[in-house]
Amino acid sequence: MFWIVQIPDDAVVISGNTLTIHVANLAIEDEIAFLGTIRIPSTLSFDITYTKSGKPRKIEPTSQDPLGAFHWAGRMWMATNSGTFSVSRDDGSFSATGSFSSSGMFGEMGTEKNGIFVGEDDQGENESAHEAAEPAHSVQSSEPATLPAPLRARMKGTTK
Amino acid sequence: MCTRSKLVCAACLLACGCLPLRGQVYPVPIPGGDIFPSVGGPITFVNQFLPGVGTIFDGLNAEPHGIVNTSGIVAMGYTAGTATDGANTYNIGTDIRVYQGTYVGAMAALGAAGSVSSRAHGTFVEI
Repeated sequence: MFWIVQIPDDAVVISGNTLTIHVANLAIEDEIAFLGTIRIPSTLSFDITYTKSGKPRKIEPTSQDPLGAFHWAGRMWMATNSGTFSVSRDDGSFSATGSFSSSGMFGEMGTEKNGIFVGEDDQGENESAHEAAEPAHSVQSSEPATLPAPLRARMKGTTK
Repeated sequence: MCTRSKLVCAACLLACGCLPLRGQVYPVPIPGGDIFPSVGGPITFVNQFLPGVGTIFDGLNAEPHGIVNTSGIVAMGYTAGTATDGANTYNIGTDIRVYQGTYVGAMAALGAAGSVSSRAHGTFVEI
């Protein structure tokens, strides 16, 4: 399962130093194996809490290469996260529940601008985004949620 | 049915097929990413970086987002844990990322399934 999917705005709540996400009955496809080609329709639910700590790093673009990893700007805090999940294949052939935590592994949260937004002044909308990462805040959407909307298959450095 | 009628029907079907897509703004993946060699398999290019420190990561300040032309909030982190199906226990790893904010993506435009840039707001999770 390596997908970007759109979810309702209210699935994410930012409060103080934490960001929580609650997703229920998300339709996805289980790729089974790393870079697998077989995909089985499945349903996933999960809850995760990200907690930031310390002082933020101010990120400035250090490369003008649009394909590079360092052509973005923002403010990022180190963050831990933990969560629980349940998943089941729609054909009933497999289901599982589990929990996970970052426990020392890398994580971060904050605000970011990339692409055409790099270099945009930190005023107005972007300043609002910066502030949203700090105080209690929940952003409402004017866009309809479109569940599910898998956009592309991709891989991770960790097994699922 | 004459050729002209068939063409008109085909054009109508194409137009109707595009209607549900209009108004929805599709986020565009970042153009860069990691290239993974695969033993015995094809090399894989993935539109994603792996922020972090260490030989298998792309650097502390590597791009954490999976969508380009965006301005907003991002959260990510690598984890480890366990799962069970009731009979077996599995070790798992996750890299789940949350994106929320403004983005400029692709919106369908009537015609030959073309698209145009459009600004939108949305929340996404990468699993």
